[in-house]
Order: sequence, then structure tokens, then C-alpha cells
Amino acid sequence: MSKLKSIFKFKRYANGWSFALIALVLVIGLPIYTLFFKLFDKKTESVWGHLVDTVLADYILNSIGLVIIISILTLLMGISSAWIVSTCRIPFRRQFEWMLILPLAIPTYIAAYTYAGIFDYTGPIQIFLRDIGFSDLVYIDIMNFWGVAVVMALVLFPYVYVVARSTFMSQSANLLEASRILGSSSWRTFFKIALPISRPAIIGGLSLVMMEVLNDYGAVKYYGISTFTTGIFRAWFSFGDPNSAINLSGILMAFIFMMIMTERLQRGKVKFDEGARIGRQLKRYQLKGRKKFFAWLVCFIPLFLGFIAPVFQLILWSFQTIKKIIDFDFLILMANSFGLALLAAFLCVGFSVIILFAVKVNKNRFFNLLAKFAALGYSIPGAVIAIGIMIPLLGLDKFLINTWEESFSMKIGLIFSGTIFALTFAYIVRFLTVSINPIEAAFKKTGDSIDEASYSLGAGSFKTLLKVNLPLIKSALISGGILVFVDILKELPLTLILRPFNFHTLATKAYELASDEMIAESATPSLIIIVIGTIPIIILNRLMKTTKADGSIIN
Amino acid sequence: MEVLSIKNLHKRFGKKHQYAVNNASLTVNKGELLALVGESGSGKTTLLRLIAGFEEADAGQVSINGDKVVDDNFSMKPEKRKIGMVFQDYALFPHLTVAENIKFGLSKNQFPNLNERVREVTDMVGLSSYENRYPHNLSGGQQQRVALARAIAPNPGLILLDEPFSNLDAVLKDQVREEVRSIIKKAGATALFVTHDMRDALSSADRIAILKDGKIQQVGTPRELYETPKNLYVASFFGKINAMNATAENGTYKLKAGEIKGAKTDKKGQILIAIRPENIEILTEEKEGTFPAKVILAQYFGDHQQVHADIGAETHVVIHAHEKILFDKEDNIFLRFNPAKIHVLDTCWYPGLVS
Repeated sequence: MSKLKSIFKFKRYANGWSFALIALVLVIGLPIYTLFFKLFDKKTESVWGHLVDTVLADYILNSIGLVIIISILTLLMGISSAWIVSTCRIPFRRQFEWMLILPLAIPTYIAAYTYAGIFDYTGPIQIFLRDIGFSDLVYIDIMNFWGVAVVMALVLFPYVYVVARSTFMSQSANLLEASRILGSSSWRTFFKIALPISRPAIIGGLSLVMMEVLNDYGAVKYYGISTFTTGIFRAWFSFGDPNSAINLSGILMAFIFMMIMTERLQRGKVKFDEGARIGRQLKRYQLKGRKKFFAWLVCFIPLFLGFIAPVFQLILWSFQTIKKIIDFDFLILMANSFGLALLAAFLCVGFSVIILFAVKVNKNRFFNLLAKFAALGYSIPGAVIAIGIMIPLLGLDKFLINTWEESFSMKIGLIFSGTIFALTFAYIVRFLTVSINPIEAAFKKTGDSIDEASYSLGAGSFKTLLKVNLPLIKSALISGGILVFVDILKELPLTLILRPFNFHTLATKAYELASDEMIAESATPSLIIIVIGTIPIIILNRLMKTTKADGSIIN
Repeated sequence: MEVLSIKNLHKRFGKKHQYAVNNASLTVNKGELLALVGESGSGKTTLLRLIAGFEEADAGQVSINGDKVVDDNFSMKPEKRKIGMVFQDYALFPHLTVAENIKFGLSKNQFPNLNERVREVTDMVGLSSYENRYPHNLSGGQQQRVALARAIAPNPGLILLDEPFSNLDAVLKDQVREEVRSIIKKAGATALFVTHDMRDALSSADRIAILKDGKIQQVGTPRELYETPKNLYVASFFGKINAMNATAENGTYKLKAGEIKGAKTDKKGQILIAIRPENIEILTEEKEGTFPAKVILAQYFGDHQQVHADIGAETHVVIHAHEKILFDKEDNIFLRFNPAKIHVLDTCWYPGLVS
């Protein structure tokens, strides 16, 4: 009886949705278990011992050092500007409110070579210094650890800014005013009330900064700093040693895992940011004189250095070089880039819907866990995913080529590895999270009773998805797709490893030009990436503005 | 004819938990409106969801119009059960108009002219001029009528309503209860609805089933439940009741404080008797068969006085007196229990609960 019962229970989950979910997760998890198994399977020769003796300490120190320094810098810039924008009246406050997110549109590698160009011997700063009479002896060298840390922080601080601002704004005005009535100055209110309450959310934003830092390849490579990512590239391309690449990936993943766990822990304990959400808008502090100017600078400097200055410079360079850059090949390159991003974004959205709806249909902890597993990709650095996909696909190709040759005595080329297939696959693994998140939120908002209503009216699960769910989450599908599209367009490390021979995207082209001392020439593709990167920011900002009183969003 | 028949239904969420539905058996007849009443956590919503197919039973059977929909190792999918359901939050499809919402569950085979059926149903619920509105343009009461119309439209064998009145404000409630009842009756439908509010049940249902701790305590017409409650829990659902331990002997209830003659029970030995406050009479002079008592508390409610009195032997009773005399604390009075209105309860149920 009890055995029969458990078979019956199992049968309940045997439907197309659960099979699709399991199949998708099995495929998407490929790089993760490749890494896991390869980590404990050492047969071939390796330069690992040599790496441990020579450069591993550098990798660890530089990676951790960058994470720490950039964390401090982004916290300083993000929190201070968010506090002023939320609680003080300064000129252009409304504009600052959304423009402070703009630096996020500049990928770290573009910021890196743009600033390198600005401070270069032939760049505007040096020219200016020479013009005002300083000799050639004054040379500001930013091509070092501190330089790359500052440059990356300048474009990553919005991750902290966005969450800090939204928690500051949502904190009940009563709470902050109570603190002021009790005699606290604005400084004291900030440190004793606002900051502690916002801490969990801010650390959530900070962990995104850390992941971006660990994912970055372009910026650190350009500034000649050895980190885990550059190490993985070196092991793979220079030494041709997959084992060392895997070992490095393993250590990196251990770091990231620890980071995620600490973030979860600190968030798990504290729950007070919810609940205190009612109440009117805070009456903003009216600042005067020097204080007002200083507060304004705190918002303006990050925006200027993080967005206005580099974009302005890129526009200048673009004007100088655009004629040389835009040719037929460049158009092909654009088509490649857009087409690939579009395809992967479309697949990501489709897979997200299948995975999330399968969980909705089969309410069960196991399926829930599978869905969480599928959304793990974003925390794994692109280089690691690339290695995890390259190794099994190379193996598969070798096998196919050999069998084909034996059976038909004919030679064929690579089928999976080094093709668009591998690249698209890797994009999906890495960016599925990006589309899952908004779609999951939309599904949650629709609720279960609407599905049940549909079933009670005789509709099956497919009709329920098509006729009820999808129309209701349409805007989430679109915004999820756009987010993935933009992320893919910006993506560098993963694309560099997996792209087919002679295949370029905007990102790899821009980076290649910059690496070949043609920073000015790289400006045009860079600007295209930045302009497209601002689209989600503008959309998000408009969504926030059109949110009605009841929280629903007009589409 | 039985439209719904439930036999020995069991459901618990996890092995460590108590049964949310514990050995429930129930039948609903054609054209009947049955209310499932219970406090929150009594398992009433779970029972409803088991019938609808949104939860799966651990054991037991459910049949709808003679078709087995739940049996051991079998559970028919919700969409195959031909049940109409009205959800607590109405669950109207926000992207579809009223007409489109109603049309959603209709099939061409059953209704060759879909638009005609939509019109029929909207007429029935009095919303024919609202067909092209979207749900968010309707008031709460109108949304509920759309939900009801949508559930009724495919002519389901059974309509389930989950807390249909809980989202309405008090003023609207009375009116909507009557409307819902008359619409369901007009449609000739059979319905089962869940509520925590006894007034919902009394004003709309033909029969009432009372649920506690996953068990159905009693099923009956309002009058049956009021006059012959099986146990104290059912009895206390309708307001105050006096329950006292007694022994029955030769047509007499023997209480600690005295005796009541004229008992009509076959039961012998220790029993629990109950009497409603309005079935105790207050006299100012001692007569045969009365209990001397002292007033502890008297509250004036306009149409009646609620008197708490001590009849000795640590026994307190509550009386609803309609006399013109106002009683006061410390007054000496005499109480006469109407033996015909004394009801014997099952002793095993909730002996601690005496109000």
C-alpha cells in the first residue's frame, strides 16, 4: 500500500513540464559538474605545481585586494550619493536620482581603456598639464592596482547606489523624523537609524559589485594586474593546460561560494527592513551655502567621473575615427553581435518561462531546488563557465570526428566547440538568472488562484500558460529579454574564450582595438555598447515613474 | 440525488502534522446550497481544495455526479472535474473583459452560440451592460458576481465558493448573501461554500456542516443544529449555552445543585446536559422545581437582560430574561429549567468548553 502510494505520488509529477525542467537543468548544469568532476580527476601533466610556486599568491592577493578596495570605494560613493539624493534638497536632485545609475552602462573594460587613454602621454590630461607649463616630468600613472580599482569602482558604484536609495526612500518618514524630534542631527540619524536598517539590502548590492570584480577580465588584463580570471586565460591559452584552469576556477568558485553564504547569513538574521515601509515621503533637508555645494559635489563627482567624462572622451575619439571604423565588416560585426544577443535573449526568456511554469505546475521542493540551480549561472564568472563548457564540448567533438572518420572515412570539422552553438549555450548558462528574476517576480505577482480559476474552468496547463499567464507577464518577458540582450552585448571574457575563429562581437572588437593601442578607434563600438546599455536604465526609470499608487505598472 | 459524495477523506501536510482533514464524510444533494463552517485552521479550505483537485487526498473517496474523482491512488485533474469555483479573491483574469472571462470556460460543443450563453449568464447576475468592462473597472460586489457568472456559465455539476463574502464590507454583505443565493438557485446549481462566519451560513445555506480540527462535527439544517447540537462546540457556534454535568435517573436530571424533573432521555449515568439561556425562566418567588439562585451580574441589552446567576455547588448559569423587572447584583431569584428544552450532548467532545 505504502509503496503503491509513493508510486502514485511520483506519477503525479510525471508530466511534460517536469521532464522539460529536468532536461533543461541537466544541460544548463553542464559546466558546473564538469568543473566538479575534473577538479578531482587528475591524470594528465600539468603546470599547476609551477603556478602554485610562482603566481598563485599574486592571483589571490590581487583578486581579494581588488574586491576589498572596490567594495570600500563603491560603498562610499554609492551610500553617500544615495543619502543626499533621498534626503536633501539640492539642485537637479531629480536628474541625479536616475542619472547616478548611468555609469552601470559602461562595462569595466571600456572604462579601463578609456581612462588609460585619458591619462596617456598623448591623452588630454597630459596635454593640458604640458600646456599650462608643467614639464614632462609630471606623469600620472594609473596603469596599476590602484588605478584599476578606482576606475572599476567608478562604474560599479551604482549597484550600491540603487539599493541604498530604494531602502532610504522606502524607510518611513516617521522613523527618520522621530529620530530628529528626539534631537538627533542628520548625521546621527544616518548612522544610527538609516544605515543599520538598510544594511542587509546594501550588502546585497555590494555582493553584485564583488561578483562583477571577480568576473572582470578586460580591465585587469589591460592594466596588467594578474587575477584569477587572467590566470585562467593564461592557463588555457598560453600554457594549454586545462587542469590548471580548472584548479583556478575551483578556488575562485570557493571564494564566491563563501561570499554568497556570508551574504545569505547576514540577510537571514535581519528582517527589519520590511514592515517599516508605510508612511509619507520624508521632508527633505534644506541645505545652505557651503554644505549645499558640498552635498551637490558628492552626487556630481561620481556621475562626472563614472559617466560624463569617459563618454565625452569616447564621443571625441569616435568623431576622429568613425570614418575609418565604419565599413562593411563593421556592419557584419554589428549584425553578428545583435543577432547572437537576440537569439540568446529569446532562448533565455523561453527557458525561464518553461522552468518557472514547471515549478508552478509541480509544487514540490525538489523542482524548486532545480530551478534555483538553473539560476546559478550569474554568480559564476564568465571565464569559468567558458572553461566548463569548452572541455566537454571539445571531448564530444573529438569523439564525433573520430567515429565519423572511422565509419565513413571522411573528415569533418568541429561541430559544437568553437562554434556559435557553444557561445549561445554559454550565454544561456550565465544569463538565465537575469531573465528568470523579473519573470519569477511577475509570476509571483499573478498568484496561484488565477491558475486555479483557469483549471477549474476546464483549461489544461498549456492553455493556462498561453492564455492566462503569458499575457499577464508580458512586460516582464520583454524587460527580462532586454536585460539579457544588453548583458550579452557587453559580455567579454566568456566571448573571448568561446568565440569561433575570426568571429567578433562589438565587445571583443572594441577590446581588441584598445589592446592594439587603438583606443580612439575602439570608441565607436564602445559607444554603441554604452548607448544600448542605457536602454534598461531608462526603461527601469520610466517603470518606476509610471508605477501607480497600488504598485501596479502600466504597460 | 447526490451531486457530491465524500467518504472518509484524509489529508495532512507532512507526516509530522495533524490531519487537516480527518475522516470527513459528507453528501450534497442536487440543488442544495451547503455551507461548510469552521474557524480558521479547521480544515474547511483544505476540504474545498480537495474536492476541487488542487490538493491530493491521502485516503478516501470523492464522487461528483456519480463519477469517482478521488479514490485510492487516483486523483482526477482539476480541469477534468467539471466543477465551478469562486475564489476568495475572485481570481478574475485581469487582462480579459467580463465577457471574455465568462467565455473562457465555455466550449463550442456544449454551447454552439457562445455569445448567447455569455449574455444569458450576465443577465442572470445583472451585469449585462458591463460585458465589455475590465475587472478593475468593477466594484467588489460586481467582481464577485462576474466570478460567480464565470463559474456558473459552463453549467458545472457543482459550484465551490471559497469564503465568498469575506472581501466585502459589512453593508454590502447582507445584500450580496441574498443575491448569491438567489443566483445559484436561479441557475439550478448545486453549491458548497466555505465560511468562518455563521451568519453567512444561516442567511444563505440550506444545510450547514460544522468543521473543527479537520473533523465534521455535525451536518444539518440551521434549526437542527440550533435545537439538537451534537456537542458543545456545535452548540456554542450559535451563541451562549449552559452546559452542566448531570446523571439521569428515572426521568430526573440530577445536578450537584439540585434536580430537574421531566427528563426525556434514554441515557443513564454521567451525562452532559445543555440548555439555552432563553429556556431558563426567572421567578421572584420559590415554586416547586425551582432552583434558588443569586445574581452575579446583570447586563441590560434592550430587548433582553443577560443575567449571570449562581445556583450553588459552584455552578453558574446564564439566562436571557425578557421580563420587565430589572435585576441587579446580589438579588435572590429562583430559576426554572424547561425540561423539554434540555438537550443531552456527547460528553466526549471538548468537556472543558462551557460558556
